[in-house]
Amino acid sequence: MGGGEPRGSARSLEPLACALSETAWTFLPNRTVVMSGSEKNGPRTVMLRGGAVSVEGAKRHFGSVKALDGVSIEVAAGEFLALLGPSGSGKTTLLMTIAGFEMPDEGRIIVDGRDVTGFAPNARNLGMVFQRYALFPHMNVRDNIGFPLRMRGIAEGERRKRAEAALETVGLEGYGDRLPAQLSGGQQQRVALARAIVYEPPVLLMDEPLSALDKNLRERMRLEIKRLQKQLGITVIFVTHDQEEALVMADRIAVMDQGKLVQEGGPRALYERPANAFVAGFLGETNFIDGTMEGLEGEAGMIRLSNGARVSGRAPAGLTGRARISVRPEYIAVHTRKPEGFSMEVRLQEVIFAGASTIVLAEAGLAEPINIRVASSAALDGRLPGDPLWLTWRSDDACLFAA
Amino acid sequence: MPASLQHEALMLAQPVSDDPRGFSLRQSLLLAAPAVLCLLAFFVVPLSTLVEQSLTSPRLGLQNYVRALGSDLYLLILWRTIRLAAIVTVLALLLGYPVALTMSRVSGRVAGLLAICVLIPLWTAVLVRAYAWIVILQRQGLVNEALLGLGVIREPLRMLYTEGAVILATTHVLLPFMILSIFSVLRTIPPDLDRAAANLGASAFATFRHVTLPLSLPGIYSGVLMVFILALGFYITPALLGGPETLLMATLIGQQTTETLDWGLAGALSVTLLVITLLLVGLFGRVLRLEGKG
Amino acid sequence: MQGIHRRSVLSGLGFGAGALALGGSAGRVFAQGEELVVVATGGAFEKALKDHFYDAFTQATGIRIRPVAASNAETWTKLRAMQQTGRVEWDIVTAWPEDLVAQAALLENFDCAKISSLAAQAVDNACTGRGLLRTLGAVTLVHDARKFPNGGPTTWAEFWDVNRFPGPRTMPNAGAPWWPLMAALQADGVDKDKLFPLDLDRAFAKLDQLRPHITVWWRTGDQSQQIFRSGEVSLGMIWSGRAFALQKEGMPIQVSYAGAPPNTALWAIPKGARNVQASLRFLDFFTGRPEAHVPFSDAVTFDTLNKVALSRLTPEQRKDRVTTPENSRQLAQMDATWVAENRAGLLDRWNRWLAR
Repeated sequence: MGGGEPRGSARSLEPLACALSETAWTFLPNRTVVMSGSEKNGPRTVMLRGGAVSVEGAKRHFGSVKALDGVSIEVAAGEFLALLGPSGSGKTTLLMTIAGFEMPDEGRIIVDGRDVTGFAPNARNLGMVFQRYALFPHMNVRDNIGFPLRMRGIAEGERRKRAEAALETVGLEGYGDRLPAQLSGGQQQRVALARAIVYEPPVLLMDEPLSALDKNLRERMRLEIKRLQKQLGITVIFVTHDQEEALVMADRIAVMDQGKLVQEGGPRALYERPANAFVAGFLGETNFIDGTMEGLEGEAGMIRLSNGARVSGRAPAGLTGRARISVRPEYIAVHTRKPEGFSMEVRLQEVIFAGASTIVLAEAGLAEPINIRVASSAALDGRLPGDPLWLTWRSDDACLFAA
Repeated sequence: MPASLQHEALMLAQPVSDDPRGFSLRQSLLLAAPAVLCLLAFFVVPLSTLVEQSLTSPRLGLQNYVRALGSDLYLLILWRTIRLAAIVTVLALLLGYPVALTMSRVSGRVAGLLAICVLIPLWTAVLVRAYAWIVILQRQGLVNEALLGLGVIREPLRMLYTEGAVILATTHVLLPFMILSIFSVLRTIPPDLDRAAANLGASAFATFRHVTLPLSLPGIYSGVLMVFILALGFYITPALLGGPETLLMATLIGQQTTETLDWGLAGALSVTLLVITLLLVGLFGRVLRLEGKG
Repeated sequence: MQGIHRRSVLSGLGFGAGALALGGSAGRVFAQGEELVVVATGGAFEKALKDHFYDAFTQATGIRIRPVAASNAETWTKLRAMQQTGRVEWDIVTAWPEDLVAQAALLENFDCAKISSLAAQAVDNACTGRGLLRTLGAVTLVHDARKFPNGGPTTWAEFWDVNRFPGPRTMPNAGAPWWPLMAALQADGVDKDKLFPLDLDRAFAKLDQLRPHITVWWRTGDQSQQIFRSGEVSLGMIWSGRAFALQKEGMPIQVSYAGAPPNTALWAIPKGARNVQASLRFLDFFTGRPEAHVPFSDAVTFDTLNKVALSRLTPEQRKDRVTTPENSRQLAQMDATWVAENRAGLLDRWNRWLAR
């Protein structure tokens, strides 16, 4: 094998790229969706208008725990925002605060230009999909979907029509008479979705709605929800702890940690330009290596690692002293001969085949081996553990943070 | 009797699932044997003796039933018993439901505290509770002293040895059964359903009416059934807190057994009460099954 | 003490706690011949019996006594059940005069001559063969003097006068409906010596008048005391012994023997009892101990059959007793035979009347 090729980041993001190419196809500016309804009355047109949401300085603490520590965020009309973070980061509290199930100690919630901070949940007119769907087990699917319409005083006949239309939207025509217990998890999920959109709320809140589904179904539903969101033009705020889910589905991701909003931005921007080590570590896989700053040149910084190697990455202005570099496994190029310029010499430790890609673990005299991901087609045939390898990455692909 | 009723109520509340990993028939029979033997020894045999007595004492025939059902007094007492059991059941439901609802809604520690408050009376002897009510309700008891002190009344009210006292104390004794059977169903309702309803535009009342209440019906049915049936056969509390005007079926049967020694009539009255009880259980079961299908 | 003893006997024989749980019958098999089961009405009365007679009897003869509490009605029900099953567990029971007739079939007809101390110690006619006189009292009209500062009712006619003597009343529902009926007839003007045969229609009609004012129909002696202590009632018809017990507690309870039905209790031996000889020894022991009867009768404020003890009482002690001439001549006359013959129908009518 003639040595690894340095690989571009676009290739390593293949799954994401696929997802985007499938979902970014229709963005309807007027958000008018034609839903087929009762033939008698002709096609029924649902006018959905996504509403903007803005959270201003929301604080909420439970005892000494600061669940929300001054969070401000703007969500544009029709935008799909993912709230991403580990458990306890405050993302669910933020969602519940928007929904009205939690009252903020401080701050305001504005939906569609309306300050709803003091409103009861039932006065906010927001759609919501719960983690475990929260379908009413004693009502059939039609009555479940008709429930919000009934609460809005809409007559029986009209409720039926709109429930059927909503069922059609989620691909469950003819399931109206079933009880929730007679449906699969995925079908229940769709009913929950239909119920949340049937009254045409400007904003749809989703609380880890896919976490109860198995992997295959989960991946299918991601795309379907994304498609529906674009089709309806509804604003979605989607809570998840699954970074892949956030990357695939969201227009924009807000990463939360310890009650604070750490970083927000497009999926790609967050992945490639994490604002700090937490985001870098939480979003995707990365190698963290500690060292000491040796110099800064514009955006590029040089760091000396404990094994003596000098490597570079993008650094914030004024970074000196102890620092940490983060470099993603797929951004590292593996060479079997020493290349020109800066490189780090390592020894091959293990090669692990993982389907489309192969994981290479390299011993570099550091605390932990370096984790590298290469295309399986470019695997290191014939190399044995202990053989020397040289690693390089583009300075722009690695990030330096204060340690 | 209470234990078997409780079991019946639980069966009604939660249909037993057919677990394929369960015991074999023979193993099951073996496991059930002690309970079946106990039932035979302590329930079936005495019951057959009772039925036999009612048909043969003092001679073969239905004369005891003619006396039991032909007497306007016994019919009055039967009606009084059913009426009192119904009032107690309604009161227990009205008082117990909010408690059960609160228990199912509050956090762990508060729920535990509430559960203890509900259970302590259950663990206290019925006799002790009856005497406590005597202390509270008597002429110079807590209630009268308080009302006199506040100037609400000038003469002490007669509360003890009245139907009101019996209803109050019986409700108090049976309330935990209602609370626990409703609570056991309420706590299985995911809290998300409340939130979902609120989110979908339902007011607190609408949420209760359309979601919580219908979902808690099995608990209400079993609680109502249990309390009603236990109240039908209540003995100690009415005997201690009631007067002769509140003579109920159980006391009447006791009187026939220990005072007038009319065991044939006692048997006939017992069988009558038993049949009414079974009819009600059947009726409730039917309602519940229909509800389950709907 | 007895319980501990029996337990050690049982465990010595290899019986565990389970055997104890079977109750008296298992223990009786081993204790036969050395234990008597004596049925009385329980409570403080039974304790006085134990203190003054049971313990001394055990000391003198080695025969233990196991006290069992039962109401009059329970006594006959259970005894009948025991005789039907052929195992009579009780050796001595407490009977009322009418029971000696009404329950004659359940009672042993013993030889009064076996009670050797009878002639020397007992009042006349204390032994009938089916029963031996035990205690003498009455069902008296009592009132709480604090509620009637100008004097309370002393006759049944006054007891019925709710205008002159207002206040919540109590009457017995303790298995002997003839007591309130006898009071009612007197209130309606019938002479205390001419009450029998009872005119039931007239008696019940009179009771109907008073019924709204009777707030408690007491069922046990303890209950009759309690409702006076708690102020639940101000006046009523209760056993004399219980009334004097309240006096001893310091309550200003006034007792009137006027027209009071006598309340006499007797010892009787059930037919089929297994220790008749030992039972007779106890009855003899009970009869012939004046030194015990003095404190016993003082403790329970009942008179007893022992005439020697009666003579030893101080005038102060005697004045409240039912057997003093002043008191006994006020008592109503009772026809135990009529009561025995009409008991079942009377109870039925009483229960029906009460239940309405």
